Amino acid sequence: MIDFSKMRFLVVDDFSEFRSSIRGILRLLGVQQIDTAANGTDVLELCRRHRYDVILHDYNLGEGVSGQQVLEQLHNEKLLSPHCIFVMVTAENTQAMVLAALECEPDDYLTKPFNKVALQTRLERLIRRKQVLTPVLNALESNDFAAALEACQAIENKEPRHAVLCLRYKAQALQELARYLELEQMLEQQARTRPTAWNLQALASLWLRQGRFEQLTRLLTAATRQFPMMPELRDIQASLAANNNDLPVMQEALQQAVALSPNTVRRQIRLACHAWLNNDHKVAAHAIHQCWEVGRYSASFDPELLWQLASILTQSAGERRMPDDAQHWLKIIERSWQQVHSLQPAAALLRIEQRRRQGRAHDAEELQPLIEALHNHKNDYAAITLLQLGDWLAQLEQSDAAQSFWLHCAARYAGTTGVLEQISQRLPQFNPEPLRKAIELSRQAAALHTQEQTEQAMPLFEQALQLAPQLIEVNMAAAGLFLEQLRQHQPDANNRLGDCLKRIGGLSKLDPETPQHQHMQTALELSPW
Amino acid sequence: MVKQIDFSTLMASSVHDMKNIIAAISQAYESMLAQMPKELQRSSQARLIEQEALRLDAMLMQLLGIYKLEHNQLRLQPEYCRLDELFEDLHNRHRELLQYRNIDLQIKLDDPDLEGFFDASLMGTVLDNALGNAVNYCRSSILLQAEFVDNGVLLTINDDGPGYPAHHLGAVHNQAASSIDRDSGSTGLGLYFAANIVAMHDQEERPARLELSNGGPLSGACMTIWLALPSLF
Repeated sequence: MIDFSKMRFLVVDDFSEFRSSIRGILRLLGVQQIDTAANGTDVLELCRRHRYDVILHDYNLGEGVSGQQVLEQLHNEKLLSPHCIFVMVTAENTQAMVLAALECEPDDYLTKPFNKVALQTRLERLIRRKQVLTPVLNALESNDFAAALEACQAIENKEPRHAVLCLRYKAQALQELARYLELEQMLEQQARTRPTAWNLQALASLWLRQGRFEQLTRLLTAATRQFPMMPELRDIQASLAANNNDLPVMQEALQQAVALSPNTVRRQIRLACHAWLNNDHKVAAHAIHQCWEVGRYSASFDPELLWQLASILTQSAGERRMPDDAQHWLKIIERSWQQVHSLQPAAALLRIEQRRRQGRAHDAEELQPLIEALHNHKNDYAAITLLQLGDWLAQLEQSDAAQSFWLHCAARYAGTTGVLEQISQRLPQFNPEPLRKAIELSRQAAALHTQEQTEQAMPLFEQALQLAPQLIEVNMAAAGLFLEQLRQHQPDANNRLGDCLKRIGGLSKLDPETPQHQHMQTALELSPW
Repeated sequence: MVKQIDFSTLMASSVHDMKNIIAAISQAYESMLAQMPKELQRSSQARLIEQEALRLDAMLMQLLGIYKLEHNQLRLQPEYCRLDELFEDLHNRHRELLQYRNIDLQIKLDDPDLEGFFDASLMGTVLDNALGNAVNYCRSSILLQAEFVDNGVLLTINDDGPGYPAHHLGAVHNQAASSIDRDSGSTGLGLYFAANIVAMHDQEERPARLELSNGGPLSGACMTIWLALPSLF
């Protein structure tokens, strides 16, 4: 029997009857400290103030954030101790809900309704598991990955039956310690003997970075056959297609992933970007619309999406007047996101385009300060925003400004499949070769890095950075290596890492690298100088 | 204008409400029971309430499952599951009743850490029904067994009752099961559901199997389910 009396519980549900009925069950189990919340804001607030042992969280909170989005935010803000048990409670196990609940990786999920015995057994098992893992979790909590690895080893030796619980933490520790070859060996062995979702996903992304494309293709074929419901495998399929510069295949893989699990905002953002680059404006608009429908309260959502949507809808109308829905989204940006300084000039630009379509001439003097404002924020925009800003400026006969946005997009986003082709269509005299070369070098370097051949990787990164100092992909890949060197206390590593981050400057929240970018920024700030 | 809803959709949504009602009643009952005098806690009426609530819930789960199956909404979420935990959950749900009826439930695992790969909630419903049947027909013992066989797990539910009627014996396929007389009552319906859920666990070239026989260690009805473990290469 486990003593629940000293544990602190948080019960989250939008229905008060359900909160009190769970509270009733927990009281029967001897729990004394029970907090409750009805919405995501309260959950975050409570988690900032208290450390919970167990959180029972309803997935569907009605209007506002979902359980998935709350959990993402808790992870983002590092408000959850690894010791905390987070159980996602779902009312009905529809596919979208279950997959979404699984994708944000709670410790467990439970289908409503449940009784005392069911809850008790589930909680006891989860608590026992965390107890076994205590030394590992303690080490992870203090970011001591060598100790975490040792603790995993100790559990494997002492209690082999619990070894399976350690695998994931072991993989995380090996990854953080940059012991990629050991990690690869472990993941591959697991894929052969006990393939699981996370394990295949980890192996596939490692092989992608290591450039082992043949092995990866075979793995993805076998894995999607065995696990057809895993959206993460399609994500990696999309990345592999991107690597082969095959936009249609990439879009298809992302669409399959989105069909399986439509509630994950980051994936919808990725689909929108690549569908647009693939000239499929309808799919792009639909994906952005979905971001609004399922994810407007999510931490991954950014109002820049709404500008993209208004812009795409206007674009799709040809030369006709601006469609009503495009105007609707613009109005929302103008009303609700006045404080987002990068967005207002972009919205104003679309308003000028709207007036142009109504046959009203625009004032060159009105445009100049606008272009300046856009220019000041040019590092804040995502790739397809930059391209579209250029397109509208070209429409308004501001060809120099248009060209500067397109070229800026190339310099930063050449690593995004489809961007260079779009720019070549707009600027026939543009030479993408140096950028392509830089990407090739950088990918070779990243592959060598993840094959633990750091010495060989370094000069390639340096060459790539010389060719394309502003390129986000190159800077991020090199920064990954420098971060490791920083952790190994190599001299000057913090300067090299700092330079990469400085060259990147701002980054749109829509960029897929954003979480990693933030992580690096924090690591640099925390490093002793 | 009133929107037309077909009967089965109406039924499915009512079933949801009914399940929630049963859960609410059961929760109220559990907190009341905790405050009752000991002799009332051990009374046959208390067991009757628990048993019937359980049966009702299992029937509704199955009904909802069949609705989803027929509307192609039932999706498999297979994962690795420890068999000791699966059996423990099963035992927990029937514990009071087994005790009250003095039925001896034996659980046998050929490896204490044995894992299977299946949808725990759907397979739980199948086994719930099978155990419910065994409780009704056994004399005094039921056996739950799990073994590692052919890179998969073989689950057995065996009792010491009179066994299945002859026309039910043999391998059950979901196509064959759909021809089972579904008007003949809950046994037929349960088997239809079980056959479909097991068939959903088919893997390429390694189909899942459901078989009914008479005999086994306890020499009564014996249901076996074999489910493959995943293998990529």
